[in-house]
Amino acid sequence: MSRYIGSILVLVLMVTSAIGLGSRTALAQDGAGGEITVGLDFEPDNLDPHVTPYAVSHTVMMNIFDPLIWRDKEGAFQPGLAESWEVSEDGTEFTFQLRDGVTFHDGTPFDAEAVKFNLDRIADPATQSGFASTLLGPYDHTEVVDPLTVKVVFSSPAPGFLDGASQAFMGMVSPAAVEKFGADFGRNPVGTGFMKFVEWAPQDHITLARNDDYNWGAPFFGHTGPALLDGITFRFYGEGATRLAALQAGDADIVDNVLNSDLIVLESDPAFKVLPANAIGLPIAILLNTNAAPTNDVAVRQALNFALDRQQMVDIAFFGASRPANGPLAPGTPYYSSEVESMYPFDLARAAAVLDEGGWTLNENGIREKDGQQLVLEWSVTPWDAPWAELAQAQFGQIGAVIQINQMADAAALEAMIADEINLYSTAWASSDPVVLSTVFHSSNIDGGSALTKYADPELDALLETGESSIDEAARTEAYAGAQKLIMDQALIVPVALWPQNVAIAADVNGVERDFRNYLWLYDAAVGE
Amino acid sequence: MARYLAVRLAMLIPVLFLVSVIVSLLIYLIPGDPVRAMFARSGATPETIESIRHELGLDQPWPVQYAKFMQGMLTGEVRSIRTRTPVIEDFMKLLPSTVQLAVASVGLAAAIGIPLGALAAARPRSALDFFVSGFSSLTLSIPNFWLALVLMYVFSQQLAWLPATGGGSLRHLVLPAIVLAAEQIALITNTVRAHMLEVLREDYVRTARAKGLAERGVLWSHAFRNALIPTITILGLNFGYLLSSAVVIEAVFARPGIGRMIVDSILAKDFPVVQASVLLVAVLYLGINMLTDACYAAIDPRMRASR
Repeated sequence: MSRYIGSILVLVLMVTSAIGLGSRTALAQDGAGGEITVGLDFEPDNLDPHVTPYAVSHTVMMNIFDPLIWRDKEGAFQPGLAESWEVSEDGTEFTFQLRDGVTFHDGTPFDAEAVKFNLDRIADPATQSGFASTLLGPYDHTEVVDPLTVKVVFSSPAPGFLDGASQAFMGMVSPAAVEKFGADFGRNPVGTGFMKFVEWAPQDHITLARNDDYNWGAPFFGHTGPALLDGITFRFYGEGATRLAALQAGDADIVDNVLNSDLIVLESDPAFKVLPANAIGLPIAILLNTNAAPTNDVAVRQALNFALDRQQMVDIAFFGASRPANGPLAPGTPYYSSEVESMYPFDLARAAAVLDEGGWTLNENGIREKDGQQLVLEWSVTPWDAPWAELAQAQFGQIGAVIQINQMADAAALEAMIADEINLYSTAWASSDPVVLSTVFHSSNIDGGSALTKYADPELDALLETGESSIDEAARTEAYAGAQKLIMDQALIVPVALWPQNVAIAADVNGVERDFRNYLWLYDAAVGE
Repeated sequence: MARYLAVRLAMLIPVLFLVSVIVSLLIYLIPGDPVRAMFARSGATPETIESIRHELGLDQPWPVQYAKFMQGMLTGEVRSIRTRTPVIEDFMKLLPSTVQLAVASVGLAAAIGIPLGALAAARPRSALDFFVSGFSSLTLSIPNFWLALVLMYVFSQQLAWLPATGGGSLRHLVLPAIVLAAEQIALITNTVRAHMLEVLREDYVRTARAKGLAERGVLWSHAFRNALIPTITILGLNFGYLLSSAVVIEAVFARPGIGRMIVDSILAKDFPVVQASVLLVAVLYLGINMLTDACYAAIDPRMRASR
């Protein structure tokens, strides 16, 4: 017997000595800028900008790929790989003058042919683009005028194209690398960005290293030439508590999407800085299914809007880390209309009046009823909206509505909404262009499963189409204002709160900024001064 | 022996066939369309969604889908819908991490649980016995995610001895292994204690005592060794449970592993990944069971004769 105990002891000794308990390896700081680790809340699906639809992929890709043009922090368009550009009178032709001397990470040159290859690739159905093809809009073809001049032609006016072209989803990929890697390009991304892709260990990390040849940074950055950092490692922490622990333990220098409830801890700790922000685009909102009773009744939809105490929601469920949302676009989104702000103040009396008028009377159980049908609403809640759904349930209960909450995974909740099995589905949709309204409300997207309110109205469709395609600024502004008002008149959604996207950073990391769309700018970042 | 193994191996084939059929049918019970789930929120065109669906064969009848899947499994060409990477390759990359965690935690739990259980049985109803059962109840009752966060707070944040998250090195293994071991200590302690008490009532123990053998010798040479056999069986059977428990540990410690791979793919309804990895886990599980059986057979000729 002693043999066994002896060997177990030896094993334990071997393991502990190999681990080297108590010796924490120091952070390597080779170059001036050092290396940093960024903790993300999801693992990207792939890093092919033309394929992936995910924001988390964008966060990684914007270090590897450059867009044709940039949007600065205020949203103004700035030169990128294109030094200048011209838009034709009718808004269907965009001519870009490209920067000379730009090379991809594999050494091949970036030129007009490469731009044509990229845009054709996005439009090609075989690419199965998740998002870039949406951004590209009514693309027709690209003409190579000369090696550094390229003309992009659309079949109808495309006023949203410049915004799309400024996103990493439309970043320029190396044609030679696409040829070489084929379907595996998404795991072997090659661009012109200030970081080169090094390695991807599934479920663990993605590593990038500085591109020493980089001297084509946008003029509004804090410096020129290569990035200050030697490298960036992205790690994936699905659990909010784990992200916080990783930051506090020094495993990560920056963590994305800090839980609202954790902000108080970090804000009071001098070892960390918090960069708070709210997403633009569609704010956090409850989409109301106009195909399923009883949310097919506009009175019910309007009453829900009057019954939601948004300030209480923000203060309690979002720990103060947000602001009330009043319409289908968050303030700060281009073409936001402030007209919606006064439409649905928190007013239980008005909510009751709207329901009374609509024929919904209180029964002896305190529940609203119409033609023998009780006001019962089905809501499939995912882990994402669970933290605030119960408060909304309680608030809606005050007007005699019963909200039945079912917790499920997002894929299942989405399917239930598509099948008209549920009335409520909450979402948010970050976007720097009001075209998101078409995605969520245009009747042509009902079949695709993104227009989940199922509201089909030629008037709304026409307003959205004008907004999307008009090259007349005044007409666009008017159309989008009209669409926002119509959506709220019909109460297709219950806007809840702006979408908080908080980033926390170790105090010794400097130069980290957030761009117009709240993505992380790491080009000017460095460890220490 | 060779013939015994060949028979056992042949028996695996129908089992694996059944598992593959069940797995490919189960996916229809999980609500949600995977392609829609991925792309509805990005505004991809219905044509794109349709073309992906066609490429995946989702518009084909089930037998065709099943045949295509099995062909893909044999050629290693089953790809994830979400990441578009080959599933078997990803699985093999993540497997060592999960096996490492499972083996380390079982080793740790055995190193603590076996001596504790034996000591408690040696002096039943003593203060030591009460302490041991109290300790094992405690380890069983502590929620694993809570213990994980406390250990991270103490050893990573306050003492800075160990990394809080990630995988790769042995240093990364310590905290997850402790948390996963904690759940198993109670099981092992109680099994060892119960079997030892049982063995101590056996005739041959009485005989040993009657021969005048010292109590130490009776306990360790006779009782303990016999009580160890059922314990090892329990540890082997526990392996499947370990995989599921590891999911939570892997998520909290952001540690790579196949548990997380399966759960993430179920949530995204990335069904080629679910199907392929569940089938691979089944192969693994059956393989381990067969090895265990083979070991018994090698050690104990009665097992060979009786089957």
